[in-house]
Amino acid sequence: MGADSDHNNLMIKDVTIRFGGLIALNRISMEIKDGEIRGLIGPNGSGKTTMLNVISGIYRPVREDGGLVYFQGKDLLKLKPHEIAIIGIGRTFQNLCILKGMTVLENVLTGLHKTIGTGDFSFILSPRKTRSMEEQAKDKAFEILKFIRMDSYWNHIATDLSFGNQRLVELARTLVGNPTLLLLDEPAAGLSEAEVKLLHDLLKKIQQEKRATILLVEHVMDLVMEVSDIVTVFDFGAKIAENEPIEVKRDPKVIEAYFGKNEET
Amino acid sequence: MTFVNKSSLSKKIASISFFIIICALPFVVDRYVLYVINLIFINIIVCLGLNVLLGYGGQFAFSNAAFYGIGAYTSALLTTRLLIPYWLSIPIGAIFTAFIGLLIALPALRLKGVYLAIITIGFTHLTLWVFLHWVKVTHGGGGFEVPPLVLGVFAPPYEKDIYYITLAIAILAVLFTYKLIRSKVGRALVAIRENEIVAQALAINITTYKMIAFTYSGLLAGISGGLFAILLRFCFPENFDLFQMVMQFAMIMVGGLGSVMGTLIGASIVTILPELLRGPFTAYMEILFGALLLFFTVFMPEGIFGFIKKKGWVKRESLCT
Repeated sequence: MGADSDHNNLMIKDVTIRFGGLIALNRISMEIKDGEIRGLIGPNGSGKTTMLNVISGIYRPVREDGGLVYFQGKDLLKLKPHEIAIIGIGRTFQNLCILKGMTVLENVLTGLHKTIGTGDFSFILSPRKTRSMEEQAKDKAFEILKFIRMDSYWNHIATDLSFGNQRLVELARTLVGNPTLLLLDEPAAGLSEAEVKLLHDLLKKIQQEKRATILLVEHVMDLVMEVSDIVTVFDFGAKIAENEPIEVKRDPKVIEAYFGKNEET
Repeated sequence: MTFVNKSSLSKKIASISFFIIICALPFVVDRYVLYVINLIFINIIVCLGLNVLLGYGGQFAFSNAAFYGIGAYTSALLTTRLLIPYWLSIPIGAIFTAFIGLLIALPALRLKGVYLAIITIGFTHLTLWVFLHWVKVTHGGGGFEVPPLVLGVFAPPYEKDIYYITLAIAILAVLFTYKLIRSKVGRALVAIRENEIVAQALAINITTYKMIAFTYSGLLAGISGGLFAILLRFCFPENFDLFQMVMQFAMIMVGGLGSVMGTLIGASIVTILPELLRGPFTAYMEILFGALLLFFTVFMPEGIFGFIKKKGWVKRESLCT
C-alpha cells in the first residue's frame, strides 16, 4: 500500500518556478523514497521553501515550463492545497504559524479536521455521534501531545508558550493528522541546543514509529547531517548536489555555495 | 466533590430564576421597555451571525445590514402583499436571505480585507437602492406599514406575542451558535481568520467554510430582519443603510469579537445606551455614542468580554466540547 512502482513517496520532475524575471526553481528533479528522511539545504534564497510550497500546492509551475509532482502515484499539480493535505502531506512553516486565540489542545484538534468524519452540521442531526467523534479526536490529540511531551500544557493559550514549545505544538498539529509525507520548514530555527536535541530524537521517532517520510529544510547543519538519509543541496534555484550526508559535506560545489570559491588555487 | 455539586446547583438555581424573570418581564414592564428588550433580542440574533462571520471567520464584510433589510422586506412583503402568515413568511425570508448570503460568498472567496469590505459596502448600497427605487414592489422611500404578529394568546397591542417569539429564537440562536463554534466548524473558521495558507495545510477547505459563515450570517440576519419589521410595525429603507452596519459592528466590538457571550453583552449595551441618552442628551447622543466607540477601540479592543476574561472573572469560551 502507498508505494508506486519504485517505492517512491514523492517524485518531482523538471519543476521550474519563476517570479517575474527571477527563476526561483530551475528544472528541479528529485525523488524521495518511502520512509526516508531527506535533508534539503542551501543558502538563503536558494529555493528550499519554494520547493515545499510547490509540493503543498501554494505555488504551481506554469504549464509552458512543464514539470511533474507526484505523491504516491497521485498528480499533485491537479489538487488544491487542502486536498493535498487530505491525501497525507502535512507541513509546518518557517515563520511560526500557531493559531492565535486557541489553546494547545484546540490547535492540535484543528490538525484533526479531516479526521473528524462527521458533516459540518452533524451536531444537530446526530449529536451523539458528533460528541463521540470529538472525544476520539481529543484522545488522539492528547496521545500526540504526550508523544512530544507537551501534554501538561494542553490548556495553555498556545501563543503564550515559549518559542521552542510553540514549534513543538505546530509539529504536533501536523503530526496528529498522521501524514505519510511530512514537510518541515526550518523546525530548528530559534531553538536552544537542548531543544534541537529533542527535535533530533523526535524526528527519528517519527520516522520509526509513525513511518512517515520527512522532507526537512534546515539551516542547523548538525541536525540535518545527523538525521538525514540523503541530503539535497540547492543553490540559486538549481540542484547542485544530492548524496549521503558525509559525501555532501565534502562536495566542493557545496562548500563553494556556502563559503565561496577558494581564490588561492 | 460536594463543593462542585453545590456550586453547580446554585448556578442552576440562578439560571432558572433568571429565565423565569425573563419570561415574566412582559407582565411587569411597560410597552416602551418591552420594545427595547425586544430590540436587544433581535440585535443579539443578527449580531451572532455577524460575529461568526467577522469575529470567528475574520471576514471583514459590510453585507449584514443588507441581509437584515432583505430579511425584513422579504417577510413583510410576503405577508402584506401575498397574505402569507408570519409563521411561514419569516422562515421563507430567512432562507432567502441565507441564499443571498451564499451568493455573496462567491465573490468574497477571492477577496480579502479591505477589498472584501469595499464590495460588500457596494452590495449594501445596491440593496438600499432597490428598496428605495423598486417602488412597485417595495413601496419606495416612504416605506410601508407591517401588521402585528398575533399568537392569539394575549390581548392587543401584541407586544407580548412578539416578545416570546423573539425570546425563543434568540435562545435557539445562542445555543446553536455555541454548538457551531465548539465543533470543527468553529475551529476551521478561526484557522481561516488567522492564516488561510495554514488552514489549507490543515486540510481545511476554505471555500466551504467561508460559504458556511456567509450563509449563517445571512440566515440569522434574515430571521432577525423579519422580526425587526414586525416589532417596528413598519418597514423603512433607511433602517438598513450603512449606519445599521456601524451599529452592528459597534455591538460585536463593544461586546467582544469572536465571543458568543460578548455578543450578548454588546448587543444589550449598544441597544440600551442610545435609549438612555434620549431626553436631556438627545442633542449629544451621536457624539456620546461616537466617544464610546472610540473608547472601546482604544482602551478595550478586545471588548468587554475579552476584558473581564483577562481579569479572570469569566472563563474563556472553548472551541471544543
